[in-house]
Amino acid sequence: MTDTHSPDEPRRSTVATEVPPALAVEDLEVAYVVRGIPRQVLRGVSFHVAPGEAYGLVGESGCGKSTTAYSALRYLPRNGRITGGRVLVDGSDITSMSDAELREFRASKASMVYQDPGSALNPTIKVGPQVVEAFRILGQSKTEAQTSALHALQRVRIADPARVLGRYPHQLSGGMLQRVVIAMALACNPRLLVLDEPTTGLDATVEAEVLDLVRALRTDTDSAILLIAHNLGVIRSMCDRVGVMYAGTVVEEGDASQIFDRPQHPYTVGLLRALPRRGLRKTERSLATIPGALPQIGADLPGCVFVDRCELATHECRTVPPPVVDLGDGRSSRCHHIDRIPEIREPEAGAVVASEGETVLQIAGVSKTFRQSGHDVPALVGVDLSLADGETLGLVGESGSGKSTLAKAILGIHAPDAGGELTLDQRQLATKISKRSSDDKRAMQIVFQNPDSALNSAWTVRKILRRSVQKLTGLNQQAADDRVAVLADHLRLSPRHLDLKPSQLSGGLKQRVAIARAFAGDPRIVVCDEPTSALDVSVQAAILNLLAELQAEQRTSYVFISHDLGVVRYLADRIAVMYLGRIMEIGATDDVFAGPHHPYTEALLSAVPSVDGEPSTRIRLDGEIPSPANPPSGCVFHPRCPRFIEGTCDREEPPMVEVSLGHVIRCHIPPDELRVLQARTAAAADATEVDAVADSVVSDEPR
Amino acid sequence: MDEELVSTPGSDQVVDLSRSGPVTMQMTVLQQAAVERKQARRERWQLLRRRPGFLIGAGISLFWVVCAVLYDRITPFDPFDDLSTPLARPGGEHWFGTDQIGRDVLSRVMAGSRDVLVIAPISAVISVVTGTLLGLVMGYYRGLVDDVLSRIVEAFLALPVVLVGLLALVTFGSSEPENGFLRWTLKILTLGASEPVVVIVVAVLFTPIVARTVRAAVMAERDLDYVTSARLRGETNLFIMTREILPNIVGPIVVELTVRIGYAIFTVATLSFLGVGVQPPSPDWGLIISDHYSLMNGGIWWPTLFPALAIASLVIAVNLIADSIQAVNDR
Repeated sequence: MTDTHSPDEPRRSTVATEVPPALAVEDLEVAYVVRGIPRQVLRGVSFHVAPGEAYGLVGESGCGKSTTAYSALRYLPRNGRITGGRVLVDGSDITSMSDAELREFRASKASMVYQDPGSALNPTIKVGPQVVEAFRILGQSKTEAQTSALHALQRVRIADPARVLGRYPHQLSGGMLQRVVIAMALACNPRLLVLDEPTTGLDATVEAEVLDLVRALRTDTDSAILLIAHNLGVIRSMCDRVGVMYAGTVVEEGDASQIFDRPQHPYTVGLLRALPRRGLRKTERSLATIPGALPQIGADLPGCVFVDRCELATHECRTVPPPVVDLGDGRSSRCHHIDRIPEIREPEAGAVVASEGETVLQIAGVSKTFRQSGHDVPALVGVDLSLADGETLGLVGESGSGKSTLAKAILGIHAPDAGGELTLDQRQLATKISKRSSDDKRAMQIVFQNPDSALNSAWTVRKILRRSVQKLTGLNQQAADDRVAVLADHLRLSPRHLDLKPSQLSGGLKQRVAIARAFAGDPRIVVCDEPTSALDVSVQAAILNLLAELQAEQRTSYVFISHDLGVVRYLADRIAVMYLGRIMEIGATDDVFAGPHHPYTEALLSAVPSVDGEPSTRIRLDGEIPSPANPPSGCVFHPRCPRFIEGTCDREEPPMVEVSLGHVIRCHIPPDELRVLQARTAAAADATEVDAVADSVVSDEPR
Repeated sequence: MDEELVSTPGSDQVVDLSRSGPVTMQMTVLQQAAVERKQARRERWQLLRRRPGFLIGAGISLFWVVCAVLYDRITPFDPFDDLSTPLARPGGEHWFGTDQIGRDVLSRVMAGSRDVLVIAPISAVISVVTGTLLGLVMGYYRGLVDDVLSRIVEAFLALPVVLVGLLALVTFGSSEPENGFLRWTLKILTLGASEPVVVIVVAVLFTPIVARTVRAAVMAERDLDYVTSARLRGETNLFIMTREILPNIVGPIVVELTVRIGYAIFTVATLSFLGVGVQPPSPDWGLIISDHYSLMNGGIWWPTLFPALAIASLVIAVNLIADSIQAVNDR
């Protein structure tokens, strides 16, 4: 497998002769030893990152992007071995370095930022000494290092660096921690900065801030950036060039906007069509899925790595590894049939759901207060909602906004405070699950975010489903078995899957089992708590399609919680935006997206990095969601609101204002005024797309 | 439309489903799944077998098990009645020398594995069973139940081993048990009357330790969504504890069992050394040491050293096995 990499990338071609690329990965092969047998994960990966360039690696989990990132610092897990190829950072080959050289190299030339900033810092040591150490390693004296640490934090736009240095990691918010980690990573002015899912654990609003920061830092360093992210929007908004990986191979490479707008490899095409892009709704068409699954690591793949899942596959694809086809402009694709890419079919129209139905669930004045070390923490405050037959209600908001608490209150897992009322089909519901009748239990079920922990790994799929069927419907053994077969068929689980244990299934299949379990007793309402956020986009597409179809057939209502606005927009009929346990805006999906929005909704929308490269407004929220234990006075959103009116918003609770039929906003600013203000911001954003990078300094807001 | 393959951990002969017909497909996947499970088990076993620690541990343990089962046939001398010159030095006829009444030390050490290899596993199993039940209840209910049980468990943990052993031995004595079945069982196992007391003492002492381990494992499991899901369909607490959670914590329980066996060996030897465990004329290692350690000052080291080495070897062997199982499990 030799990679004829196109050397005529325009941006680099002028300097390629005198300046070595910041990172050159050449034909890299890596194997992991699993249960004593080496299994190949990288099958000849080649790409270059020029100094100052941001290069993104995308692909579904298991495609080898993180392994590539770790190889760039020769920082593989214990069972990982580089079995072939070279990795050159700034011209020096790190695969042949001694341990001492490697240590020196990592200290001075390259650094890495990991996904979870919380575990990247030592929780028992204050932030200060940890940042100082990053400079001490470079040989600075103690006082020098202390000054450098202060400067480093200023550089990542932390308002009060001295105070942050004196704190322990747990006293800082996730976004602040990630800033500190980035400051440490930049300490040595690295030639190469590897960012491995740097914003995955963060809320969209915080993610936007961190990405703004990285973008701004790029302009004043010439560090090359290798960015790994599963979120294609993040990659598009951050990177100059993108490599699409599949099964340990770079299948397509090129300019970011070109890759996302005119993909030239069947895998990239599938990946992008699986995303609900450009405001797609379930009523327009179903999402594309990529049939099949990633080949096993270590599998023998003589032909094209993507052949088993490719619509265009021919005999040639099975036997002959495809050539790297140079498409000019630094673009290349590893495919036998590039000319046939346009033949790939668009998915047909999706299942249309009429959501006008009778009210199934009515929630009135539901509050939930937790007791925490003697304090009352109101997690939900007077929530009113209704859910119609066959309707999907999307719940959005940052973490800590009370979405999951509301879902759990509905299900009776956390019984709401006295005074709130839950009515199901005009019958009053007991607040506690243990007090509910079996009919009520049967009527409401949940699909969890993480199918791994949602399914008992010691049970077979058949046992999981049969138990739920029997318990919820009271059918006898024989009838329950029949029902399990019907359910499995509905969820497109083949009978052969029933005798497997969850650990033997892929993530998508596991989630399908979880959905089947929720549907075991023909529920009226299914709560979907981020059901696709742990899944890859192609699997997410299949699950979303399935949920839409099941709803169309059975008229089940969904309460759909998600932080991915594209997904919510695709699936939900109505959307409720939550903040600090309150509903700030609710309305039909189209109305909520069309505006005028509540300022919080506006900020959420503008925080989402778009795969479509659309310019977004730059409303940035300072800090993070305040503690529900002492909510701000007046409008709870006022301390972070970009449209805050002094004297009003901080004193008086805002009214619920009806913008249009069923579209309600909790804000002091009249809807018409909001509309004008928001149009103006959008216009300004169009004009100054790139340079309006967050110059704002983030204050040290304790969680 | 979207046919996903079963994930096949550790199999490199993946059958491609999309290319075969529907009927054969079903067969292949079922067979494949079975093959995989078998293969994963085999690979795990191979991995275990490749660990030198496991091999050494298993070898030593096997040696002692053989001694325990066949001692009356393979010992060079009768460990009980063959009296020759007392305190003969190691060498010649008596490789490990003789003890103070002229019995062959090697034979007695070999025979001494019998008591310990019966008592230690039995007491470990009892403690793991009771500890698991306790731990399940404590970890599952938390709150008041956990608080009360935890305090009781801590009280047990505070008991000194020797005192409990002494107390039990004095109370229940070494007289022949009245119960016919118990007498019969003891006879089959060729155990003395004091042995059940030792079993109970060790089991009681270890139960709280096991309970704490299991409690921690249960607490990690009970917050997982599958438990919430079980509650949402109206399962009873008993069902959730025993049918949902228990199968998921078998791994740590097995490790705990092996570790407990190791400690039990040690504790049994300690108790007999102090004279509150197995009673003479058993050739228990702790007893042999107890009988002869005062002679060490006179240069008579062999009746003390060899049983001590035997204890050490068996404890280390069991721990090596426990470590290996844990390492392979964690992978």
